[in-house]
Amino acid sequence: MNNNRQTKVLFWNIRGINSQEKWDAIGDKIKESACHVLCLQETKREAFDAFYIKKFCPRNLDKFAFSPSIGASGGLLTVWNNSLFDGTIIQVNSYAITIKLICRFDKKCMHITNVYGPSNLDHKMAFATWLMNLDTDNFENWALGGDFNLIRNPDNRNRPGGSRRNESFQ
Amino acid sequence: MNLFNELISNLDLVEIHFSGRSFTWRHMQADPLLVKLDWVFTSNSWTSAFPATFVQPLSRPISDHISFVLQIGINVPRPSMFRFENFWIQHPGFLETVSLQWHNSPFFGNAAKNLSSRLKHARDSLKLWSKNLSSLSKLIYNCKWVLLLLDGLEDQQNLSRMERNFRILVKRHSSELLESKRIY
Repeated sequence: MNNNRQTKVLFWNIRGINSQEKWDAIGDKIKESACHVLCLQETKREAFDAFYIKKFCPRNLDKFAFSPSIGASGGLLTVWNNSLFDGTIIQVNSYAITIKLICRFDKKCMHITNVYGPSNLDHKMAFATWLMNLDTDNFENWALGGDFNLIRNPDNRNRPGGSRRNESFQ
Repeated sequence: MNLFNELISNLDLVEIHFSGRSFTWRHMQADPLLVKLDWVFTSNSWTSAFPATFVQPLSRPISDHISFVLQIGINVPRPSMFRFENFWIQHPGFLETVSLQWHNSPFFGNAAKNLSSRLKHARDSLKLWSKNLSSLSKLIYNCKWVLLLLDGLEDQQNLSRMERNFRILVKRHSSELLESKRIY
């Protein structure tokens, strides 16, 4: 049975995952979006196991990769549906998780990078350097998304301004 | 040139725009600062492999960031799934609905066939019955719709005090509804 359904990847900077309220909200967004892949940023959690994932993921989101938070900051989590996708973890660091997914039905390949760019200016340069040197030659069909903590132009703010969050580094 | 833009162009990436949304993050204050901090980019090969790709922003029940869905035009099979909800059992109409179908399904000589036929009939009638059952999902859906509308409005103009207070109330209500859904 093939109803031309889309693949859906849910992204969310959750600002800390450690509460029942967050689990409820994530579970509800998974349901609302009917996503096959979940990419969370700023989990503020140092480790995940299958038991913890079940607090907010339905049974079909059953494979995962995480990047631990450093203390209470950062942290990434990517979860995918293993019966739809054969997934391989390609790279994990504090800025990103890259996974390679091969659809078990049409054998199409995707690379999905879940990104969390630091908000602190010094770390932004390190993030930019990592991105600049990223070896993407083998990234067939690559999508990267998430919270970059960066803006592309002044219109990306509702008022001109301040360097409070240092979104740009011209 | 903005370094971020330089990186994006060096990597040969294409930005996927968020349908109908200019900003993704809101500083929680009365006169909020709104910024687009969340992005999705794809490679050139992606564009040719999955031309029907777009980003759908969702409502923001918690967190100061919105969540969003990258929708990828690719064919994956859709199972025709029946989900049994545990809270149905406590519902007054449940037993009646099941037993009516259970006893009224056609009788076969083969016991296995009998059982499977009855289960099928019970499933079909539960599907129909459950459609009119819970207003919980509908209420949650409505809350989300209102939150999405207010967030969209805030993209264009500052919200009035009344609108902001209303949003706080709707968020609180929405968490309560989600909690009762979880308990079910």
